[in-house]
Amino acid sequence: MIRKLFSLIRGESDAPAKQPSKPAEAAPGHGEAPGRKPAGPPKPVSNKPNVAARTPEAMCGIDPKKMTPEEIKNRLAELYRRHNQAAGSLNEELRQEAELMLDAIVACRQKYLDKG
Amino acid sequence: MAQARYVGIDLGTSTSALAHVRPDGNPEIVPNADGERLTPSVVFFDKFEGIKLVGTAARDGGDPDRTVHHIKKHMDDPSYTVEIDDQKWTPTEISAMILSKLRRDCAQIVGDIRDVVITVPANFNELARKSTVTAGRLAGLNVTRIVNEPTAAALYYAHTKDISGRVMVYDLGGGTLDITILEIDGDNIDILLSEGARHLGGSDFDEILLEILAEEYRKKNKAELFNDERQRRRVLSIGEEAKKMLSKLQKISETIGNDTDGIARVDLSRDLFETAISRLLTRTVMLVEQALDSLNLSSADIDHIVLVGGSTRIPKVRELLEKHFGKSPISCGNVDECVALGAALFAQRARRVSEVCNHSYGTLAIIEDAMTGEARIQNSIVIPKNTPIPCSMSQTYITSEDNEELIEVEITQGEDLDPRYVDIIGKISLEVPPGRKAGCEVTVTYSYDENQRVRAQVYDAESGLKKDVAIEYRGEGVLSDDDVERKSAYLKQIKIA
Repeated sequence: MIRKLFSLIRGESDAPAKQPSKPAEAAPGHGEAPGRKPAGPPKPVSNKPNVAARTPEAMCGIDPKKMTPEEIKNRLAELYRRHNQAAGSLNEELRQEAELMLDAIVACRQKYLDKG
Repeated sequence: MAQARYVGIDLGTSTSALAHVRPDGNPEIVPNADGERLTPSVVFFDKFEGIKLVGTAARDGGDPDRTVHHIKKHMDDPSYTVEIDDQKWTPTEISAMILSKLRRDCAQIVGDIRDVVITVPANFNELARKSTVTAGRLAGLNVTRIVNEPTAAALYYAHTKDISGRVMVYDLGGGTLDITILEIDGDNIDILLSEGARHLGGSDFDEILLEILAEEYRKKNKAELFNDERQRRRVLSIGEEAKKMLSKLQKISETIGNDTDGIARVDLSRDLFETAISRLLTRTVMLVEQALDSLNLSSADIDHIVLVGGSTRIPKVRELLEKHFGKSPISCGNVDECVALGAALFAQRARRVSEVCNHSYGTLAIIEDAMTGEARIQNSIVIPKNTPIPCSMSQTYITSEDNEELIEVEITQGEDLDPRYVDIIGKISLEVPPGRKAGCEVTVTYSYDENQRVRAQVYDAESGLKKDVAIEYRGEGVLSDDDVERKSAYLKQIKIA
């Protein structure tokens, strides 16, 4: 399914320049539209989700004793981006996994970030 | 018969609508033959005369086993079919019946309808977009453009209100949530970003209310509220009405029951309902945060929050957004109709709307981590999602093995770097001369035009060979041209009322 093809060396773009009123701070990188930071790609989320785990915390890789609310928020945001997109995948198995993960993400969010 | 110009169709999860632009430049909804501005997206397969009922009659009567609701939720599922009388129907065909009804009914008022713009949720995948276009073809329509629902709503909003600045459209419809951030400057609209969430809308809230009613009934009558699909549908309908009332009242009472276990009176409060749907509402907030984060914007950078879709009538939705942005969201006006009205405007003035890529497109490649030197296969994005279109972008790679005679580029759709989380929607194979060492440069270029058509090109620098293809999802769930022709002819024969 996945074939090793190439090693990435550089990128180019001729996408039209277009800026929101407040341009993104980051300088455009390879493959990005000039003058504007595109929405993707997200940072890779390193921990592979374990949907067989029992608790939402375990599924999301959240340890409330070791992580600050900011770290939890960032972690959940990364997972949300990944699994919200996967929920619309052509792969049924992936869609189902994504729905379980989204429930777990929301459970953690409500428990640790929205409780106030 | 005269031909209607500038027609837009909102093919919705719960209801659908058709609008056209009047000679005075303003869009208007065209009612169906039943005199309704909104046509329920429900199809009933009649057993006796073979008639396919579409709309209110299909929704309110008939055998639930022969009735299809919310088919739009399955447009992105390649293996989903509905089986009735030993005949399988794809979501595309069911949607085509809804479009046929709209076309036939509305043509009686505005003239023959041929060229149309159809709206889709921002996060519809390649299959769902293609299926929507095919549904239009089956219904005898020429789908000139597909436009994202919030884009259409924003166009209508900009047309009716004299505003400028950065706008976030929050479109919570029957089946999906779409967030679009755009800039309005006079008649011109620049879409900056579109994000969406699947299976997050009014029908999901209805299912939760159904569970609440069933649980209350269980407590009071020590029995199940429904035992078959007909009873379940009836309760679902009661729940839907209760949901609408709870948007206006704090407390209501409903009488529910069945023939065998009697009735029960159930009190429902807005608080109870909003608590029950809180996990879904949290998902909506997270999508808003993701959208803002993607553009490096804060809540304060948004000038107007515009509400679209029937589910935005839920007071908690407005409250959450007000809390998040520190300002009151504004209703688009008629939240149920503005997508269709905007689609008609889009048919007329698409050139004034600058859109973005709906998905990231890339390829699989071995990518080395600059820090660790570790190499692994990743999704290498060539065109990132939300890049302004039209655009053409390239990435150059090197071949990884000696003696490669076939360069195969797998075309991915999705923004995740992990290949497991993206869809592979095609492949380009380029034959190159034998006996080459690893390290030959290969450039992959993707182009995305205004009509959301994507092309890919692979160029081998050493040999000068290249291959250019249109990226079209042709996997499971896609009808062939022959199928479309055959089914279109069949659809013309069946009676749709």
